[in-house]
Amino acid sequence: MKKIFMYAMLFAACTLGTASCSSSDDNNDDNKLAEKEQAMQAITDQYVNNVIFPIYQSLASQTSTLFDQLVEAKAKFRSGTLSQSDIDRICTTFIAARSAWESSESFLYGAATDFGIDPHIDTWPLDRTALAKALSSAEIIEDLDDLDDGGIDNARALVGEQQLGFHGIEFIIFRNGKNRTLAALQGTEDDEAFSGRGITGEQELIFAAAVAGDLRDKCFQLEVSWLGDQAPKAHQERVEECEFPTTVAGGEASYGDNLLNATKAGSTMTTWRSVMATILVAGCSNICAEVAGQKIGQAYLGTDPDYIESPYSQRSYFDFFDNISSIQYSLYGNQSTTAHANSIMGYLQKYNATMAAELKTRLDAALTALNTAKAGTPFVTDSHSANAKAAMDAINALDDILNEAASWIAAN
Amino acid sequence: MDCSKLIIALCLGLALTSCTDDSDSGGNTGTIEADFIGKAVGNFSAEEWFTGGEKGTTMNVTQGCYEDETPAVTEMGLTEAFNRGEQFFERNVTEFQAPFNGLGPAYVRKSCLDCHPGYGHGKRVTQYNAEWGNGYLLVIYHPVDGQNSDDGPYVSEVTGMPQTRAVSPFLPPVDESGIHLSWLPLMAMADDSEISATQFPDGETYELIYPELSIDREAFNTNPTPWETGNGAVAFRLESTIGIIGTGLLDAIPDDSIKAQYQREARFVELNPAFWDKEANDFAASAWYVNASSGLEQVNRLKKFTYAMTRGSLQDGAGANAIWNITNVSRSDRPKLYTTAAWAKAMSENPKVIAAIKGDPSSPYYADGTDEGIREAVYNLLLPTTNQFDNPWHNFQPEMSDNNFWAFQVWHRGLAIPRARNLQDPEVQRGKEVFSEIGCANCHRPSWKTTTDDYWNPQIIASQNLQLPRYQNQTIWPYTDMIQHRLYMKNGIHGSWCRTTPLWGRGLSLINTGAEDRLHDCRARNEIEAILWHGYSKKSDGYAATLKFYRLPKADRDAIVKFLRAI
Repeated sequence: MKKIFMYAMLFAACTLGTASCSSSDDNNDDNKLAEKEQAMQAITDQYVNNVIFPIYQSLASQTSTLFDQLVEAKAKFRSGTLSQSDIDRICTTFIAARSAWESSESFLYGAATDFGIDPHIDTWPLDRTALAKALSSAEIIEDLDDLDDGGIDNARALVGEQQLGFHGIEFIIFRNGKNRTLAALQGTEDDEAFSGRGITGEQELIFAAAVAGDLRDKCFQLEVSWLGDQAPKAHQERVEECEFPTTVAGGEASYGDNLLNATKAGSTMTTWRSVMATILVAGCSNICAEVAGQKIGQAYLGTDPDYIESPYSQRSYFDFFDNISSIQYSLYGNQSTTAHANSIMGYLQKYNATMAAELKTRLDAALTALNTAKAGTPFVTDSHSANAKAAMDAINALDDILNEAASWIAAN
Repeated sequence: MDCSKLIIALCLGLALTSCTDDSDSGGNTGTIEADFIGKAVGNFSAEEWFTGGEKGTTMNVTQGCYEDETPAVTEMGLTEAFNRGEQFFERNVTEFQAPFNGLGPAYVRKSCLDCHPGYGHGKRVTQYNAEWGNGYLLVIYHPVDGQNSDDGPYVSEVTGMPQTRAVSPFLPPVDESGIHLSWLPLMAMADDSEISATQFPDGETYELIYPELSIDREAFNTNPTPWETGNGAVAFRLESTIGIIGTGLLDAIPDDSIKAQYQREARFVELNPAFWDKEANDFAASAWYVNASSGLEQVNRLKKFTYAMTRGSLQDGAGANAIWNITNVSRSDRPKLYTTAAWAKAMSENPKVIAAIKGDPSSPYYADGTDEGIREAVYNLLLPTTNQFDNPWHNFQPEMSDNNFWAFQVWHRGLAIPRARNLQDPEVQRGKEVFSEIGCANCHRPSWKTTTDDYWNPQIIASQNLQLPRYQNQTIWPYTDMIQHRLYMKNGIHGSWCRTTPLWGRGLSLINTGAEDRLHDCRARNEIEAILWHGYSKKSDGYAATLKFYRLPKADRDAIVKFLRAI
């Protein structure tokens, strides 16, 4: 996945090699290096405060709302007052939460990886047969139902991580690319894996509410891990109640502080160039390769539709679009379509305008390809389409230039 | 000539005439690391930047670099297979949902990533739950002294890697609620060790901790329990997952080179007689891994994988085994379950298990629906000797396809080693010098050369005429002698002998995994603690080097730590 980065680094080293013995080389000029490092510090400050923080705040907020709405829906279902507009509202919230999560995937490094949050909340395919078995158990349903007395913990313990996270909830509230109907929830679950089990909408909502609680808690953990004391007090308290870890290596520093305090004692980031490489390679390139090689690639190149994410809402291309948008935000230092001056794109525009232009061209091409795909046949319906191929190729091309940019910044 | 090879050749060529003044001045002021990569600096050769050699090194050193494929994967056109294999490592295994199906009936973890968070070792935990981040395996054995010896045979009532989870309606062989783990501070070293348990001679302090593990007898859902067999005594240890990056490169080290290393070391230290026949100056017969775990194929390679060096080829090594036995996912060459007769018997005698199956006619254990019929089906289907695909009770299908197993092995053999870092730093260079001077490099041998890399290929891959990544004619820097030694730590490793851990890439553990615990049970929270545990006992093979380290000035101790983080 990092092949271009590797070769480019070698090339950079070789190219510099013939000249770097001279202490008067322009590239090694102390003042210029200091100027660039100051710029990288400003980029980091902008990136952490205006990309990572607001996206994780949004994710925490949206998942909290989703939990509240599902708890309310459960009560309304029991009292016979649940309406289609209630379900539609939940679906809208789910889509917003999902978008926030996918928009955070260009910075999965850090807390999402260190604490195993990514595989916990975003695993697929859903094991519907195992879910049907679990929901058939009166004991499990009872344990999940009492949210004031460990229902969320029970979701973690009883239904298996394979059923947790976004896609377990997605299965309950979406079907065949549409919002679940009230009539469907009022009947018994008709998915093939549930055949003959007589699972009711009430049981499904009990499950969805408990899983949404777990999802919310994990997103609070992400927010608190990055924002530290800047996270809402209530979120901090909930994370503490769950006994979730939130600091770098169990120390004092939040993940945000760890980046902001690069080069200082206590930070794992020893140089500002390592921060840039982290943003570009550990962050942007990683999700680029994941989308092209795994999320699209495995289904496009193979034959198994179960490799496809978000099959019930049929929003796979929307997920991928948000992933590439996430890269844009990281490169631009904000969530707009214009790069902030203190951003990696701004840095490249100043020091390597040719590369900046090429990076923007390929980023735009990837987003355009995914926009086209979003308007066409859903990925889960046709995973071998020309749209899928075009998107995969464009994202691979973006990945190449991201690694080249990382190599150039590291070497100059 | 391949473009990438040309670039690397240029780099390596440049190294011969590269600058030395930069390294003398340190290179940290007014310079950037990229100026030095691929060049000889101080006491490092140019090649040492490329820790895994030309075909095995990733130049990425950011978080996620442990996940990278080697250049060999790319050059051989194996990227798609690598990506597919990666999914089998990362995804949660499900009970029913293909393509990641087959979890249970009893299992150790639901995902490889649970034990290898961030592709590293597991993290030290304070409570044993078979969840993400806990990379520990339980070790349950009959101690030879009837007390707490490190030595003794595994109990046979639970599997060698004991399972603490099961799918409904079964109970896990070991109930996690009965596992008790505590971490205790070490108050004193043993066996007249001249090393303090708490501080260096210059007054700098440290705290060493070690695990104490016990499991309640009632936690065993087996018949009999381990207390009713063997010598009637039961002891427990923790063993953390072993490193996975670069293992394909280790597989490429030729057996005859390792033999020369044994011959060199046998002159100075007692080696494990199960591996080395001192009289014959040659390998013992038991050093050879003769048959694959499936029992169906011959391997005939030197044992060199796992702490206990129980495996002779990566293709039948820890990963090839774990993708079957940790989750109990069957495949065509692994048609039997990883279970025990004692667990099968206990499950077949459990009234709740029988009642649950009786209430579910779709269960594969339902048989004729009578209590007796269900009991018989449960017992026989859960036995480790029953062919799951061909038996009188219920014939299951292989859960992992042969082609997906190949992809998994491409991934496994294709994991790269990240390049070295900061070799231009004089402190790192000093660390290398002292590391060698005090004797660490005697066991943590810096480099090896691969030759033809004619790896052993299991039939289910060979029959498909499929390739795996190859690493021919590489110089690699793993910092291991591929030989077992004894450290005699308090509550040490089961079996006493432990293969010298490769040190390459470990300095990037914190950014890849969020943790940097070291040693076989993660008792060491940093490099200093790991080194000092080598000197717990005067009997330790690492004692002399550790004593020298202990007596070093702080600057040199710090230099060694910096060196370890750089390689």
